[in-house]
Amino acid sequence: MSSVSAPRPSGLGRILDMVPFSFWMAILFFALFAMTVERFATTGNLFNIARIAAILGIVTCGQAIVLVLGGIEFSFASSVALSSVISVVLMPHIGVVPAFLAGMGTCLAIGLINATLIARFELPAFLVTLGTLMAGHGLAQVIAGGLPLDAPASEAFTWPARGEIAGVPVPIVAALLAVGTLHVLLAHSLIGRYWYMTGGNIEAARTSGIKVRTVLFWGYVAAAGFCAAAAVILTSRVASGHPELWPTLSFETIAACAIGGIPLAGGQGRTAQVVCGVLIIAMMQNAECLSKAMGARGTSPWLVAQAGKHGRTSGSRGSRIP
Amino acid sequence: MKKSFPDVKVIAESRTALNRAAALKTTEDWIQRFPDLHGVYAAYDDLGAGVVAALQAAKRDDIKVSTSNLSQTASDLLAKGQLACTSIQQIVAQGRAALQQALAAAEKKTVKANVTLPALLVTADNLKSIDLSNVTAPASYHP
Amino acid sequence: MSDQVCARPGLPVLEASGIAKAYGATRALEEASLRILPSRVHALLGENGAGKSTLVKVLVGATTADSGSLKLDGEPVVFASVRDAFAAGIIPIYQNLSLFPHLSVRENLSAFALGSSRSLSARTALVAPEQARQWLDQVRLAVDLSAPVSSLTLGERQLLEIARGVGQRCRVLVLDEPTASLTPAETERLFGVIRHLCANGSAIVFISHKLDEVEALADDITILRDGRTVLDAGRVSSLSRQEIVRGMIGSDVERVVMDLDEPREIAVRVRGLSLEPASQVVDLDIKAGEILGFAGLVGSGALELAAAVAGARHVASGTVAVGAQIAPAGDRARALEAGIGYVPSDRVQEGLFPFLSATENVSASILGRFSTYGLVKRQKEERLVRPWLSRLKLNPFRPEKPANEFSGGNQQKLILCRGLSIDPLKLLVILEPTRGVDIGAREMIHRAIVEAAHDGVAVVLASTDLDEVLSLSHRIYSVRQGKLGPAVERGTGRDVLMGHLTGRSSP
Repeated sequence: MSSVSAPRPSGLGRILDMVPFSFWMAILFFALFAMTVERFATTGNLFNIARIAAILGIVTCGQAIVLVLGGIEFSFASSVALSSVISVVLMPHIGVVPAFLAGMGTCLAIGLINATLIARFELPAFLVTLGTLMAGHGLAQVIAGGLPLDAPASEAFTWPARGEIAGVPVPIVAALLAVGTLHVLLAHSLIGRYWYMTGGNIEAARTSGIKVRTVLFWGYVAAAGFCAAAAVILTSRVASGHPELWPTLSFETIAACAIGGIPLAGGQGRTAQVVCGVLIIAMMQNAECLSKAMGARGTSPWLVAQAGKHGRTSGSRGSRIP
Repeated sequence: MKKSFPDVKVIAESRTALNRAAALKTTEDWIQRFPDLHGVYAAYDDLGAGVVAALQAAKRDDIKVSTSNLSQTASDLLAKGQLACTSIQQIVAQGRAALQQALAAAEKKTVKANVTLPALLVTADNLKSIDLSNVTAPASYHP
Repeated sequence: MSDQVCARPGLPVLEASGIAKAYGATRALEEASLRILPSRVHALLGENGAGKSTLVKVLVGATTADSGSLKLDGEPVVFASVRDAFAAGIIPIYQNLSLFPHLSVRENLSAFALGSSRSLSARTALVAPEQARQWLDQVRLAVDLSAPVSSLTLGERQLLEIARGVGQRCRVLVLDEPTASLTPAETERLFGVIRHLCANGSAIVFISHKLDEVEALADDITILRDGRTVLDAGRVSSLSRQEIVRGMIGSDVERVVMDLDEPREIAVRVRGLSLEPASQVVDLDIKAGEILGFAGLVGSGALELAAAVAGARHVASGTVAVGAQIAPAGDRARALEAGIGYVPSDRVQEGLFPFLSATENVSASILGRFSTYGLVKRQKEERLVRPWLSRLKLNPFRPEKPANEFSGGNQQKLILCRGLSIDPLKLLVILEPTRGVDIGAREMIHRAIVEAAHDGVAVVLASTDLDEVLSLSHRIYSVRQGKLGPAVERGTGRDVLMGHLTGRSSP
């Protein structure tokens, strides 16, 4: 290119550079819904949005890591389902907190299986995580006996979903912690940098002397960690061990990342994109439920088209690491 | 329902909430949308449990919930008073009647066009006393 | 100097004047002109970023100019798309060949016909065998029409693509770096084909960095610099090498005769290196401050051998001892720990992180040095990387820009800095250091390599560019068919080395 290049961005320009495209879309959707859908902007409803966004957001943090790595994670849906079943089955025997820990352990175990198969045995992530998705689902069904298990009601059990810390609902606190952790991991940590390199060009990572297998392994384990936290909150919310806890969870996290602007090809992705993508999806689902126009027919095709169009344009903005 | 209970208006329907978590979320949203909601009917008791969970979290025990099926979940909810009532189909009687019809057809006897077996209404009151012989299989039955 | 006298110059078949083109805020072309005369070979020269690709895009209809004019046979013309240019006889042949490897030669030749055919049956739309054979004869390619393209060598595929263009009645054939991956024999063959086509009336435009080839093949030269035409259609015969270089970079390049220091003590011992179980076992000693060259033709195995020393490919056996540390060959991470840096031959596939910034690309091998408690300290990273970037004159000097926005030569500098920034750096293995790199960057990279040796780094330099290896190495091993041949000392003539490489001793 000739030496005449774009002038350095001014202060405002720099801010604009930092904010992902999906942020503006989120603002746009919010304004649109606030004006056209009744009761959208009420505090109660905004809390509803936040509750759903919180759980989805925590798991999407995990998916974002895997996408940056150039992989994909399909097994979240059955991870949380199996976790809830195990928690509820064990709860009468070992108590609430140990049962929840066992549930988290389940998610981590599934994550370890994925990590080993993908990193050590170099199997494709697409197939491996689909496999664990189906296996986990089957296992959850078998353990639960085909029907959801109801959890004994207790204060401790419902705390993760309904409790509050300093006046803020626990799920929202957890989501903020998750987002904060993701930001530190992606923007500031050594392992995060290795994730970007491995996802951006795995061969180049190898020739640079990076232990690619180790990097991949810890990526999938970290994703499972986020999933584990979300599983506890979700189990508590629905108050049961449910094999069909959230069957579309994995796909919703992928959609949230895509809408946020994270390309599925790997090597790029920012925390802000995760937040915006999740908020957009949560708002859309909520608005669809509230709005009379879209009533019982399911997600409006118009909304899906908007998301799809916007998802494509977000992806093309070169937003890589913060 | 319009004939028997003209004062009851159906103000919303969801055909897409298919599991407990989705029913929970839909109920949460409906509580926001309809301040004068009085009752929710869920097609089966897993959904009903989700509705109940949402109502409990929002502390709206003025809203009544009814559902169908009498699994353990529904029994517990009835017993705890969180479910107003549920209905249960006479499954065994239905099976018996269907088998009789099939035998009649095989033996070339007359077959009835319609066999009506009404569902039973179950509430907290008659939960203990209701005759479930036409509903649940006998304990000694193995498929 | 072209010894084939082509037809006398007359009306230019294609003429571009005053072309300007901007992409956003970047002005790729300011005032570019190009006059292509029929039956002549025209070379387009310029550094990376001078605007050659953009000008070519305008000529072949891949993009439209913001201002300026394009004339075909003297008449103004506007190409709305590549198809228009095709129809007018302007055919581009890019470095990434656009052939279908699993289809046959005849099917590939018919690709254009098939694309615009109305018939449902593929058979009738295929080019008739006699016609196909005629096109292949034009490019002196004798291959079976039904052979799959994947069975052809790279040189043959290139000729096939040209044959396809010939079939389209091409008046101007545009070749982008055609000899980048060809063996010397294939290059000669290509030149023969070019002269033949030129004699038949076509005009050939080719882009190249190799001035030797330009002087041997071209009749006219156009030089671009910073988006402007500095010299249009100058006769090659009337220009000196120095004038050409000066035109390209705007100043004289000091042809510094690289003075190499004496190598010191042995720093690296390679023992028992063998790529495959049945292949030759190699033992090597490399001294600190020594530049050891591996010379080989394309496909000779020179690059693979050097990569194995750095741990960048699987090996059957072998160890690399650097001082007291012994690393098994074939383990890149361990090699890095031992102080071995590596510059791969294909920077796009194996070297560059396209979305990461220049700084982040350079620091890829030294992340441990500026992270504490698992957190990366960006300021320290910049402090460590910046000196290397300014030493190699990264241009434009914007270290925060993503790597894929830099030109090829600058990208190569980044990968080189990645190796140079390792501390302590004991051995640097460099493959094809100036492939696809313009003159200015090439000089700078060569200088950096010599300076590294001066600082005591052992260097292994593997390249298919014999001049490069000859000018930079203390000792050169020739590699032929995967086997290490005899070593020659610095100052050996090119012919002798060539003899070793081709297996024929010089007369």
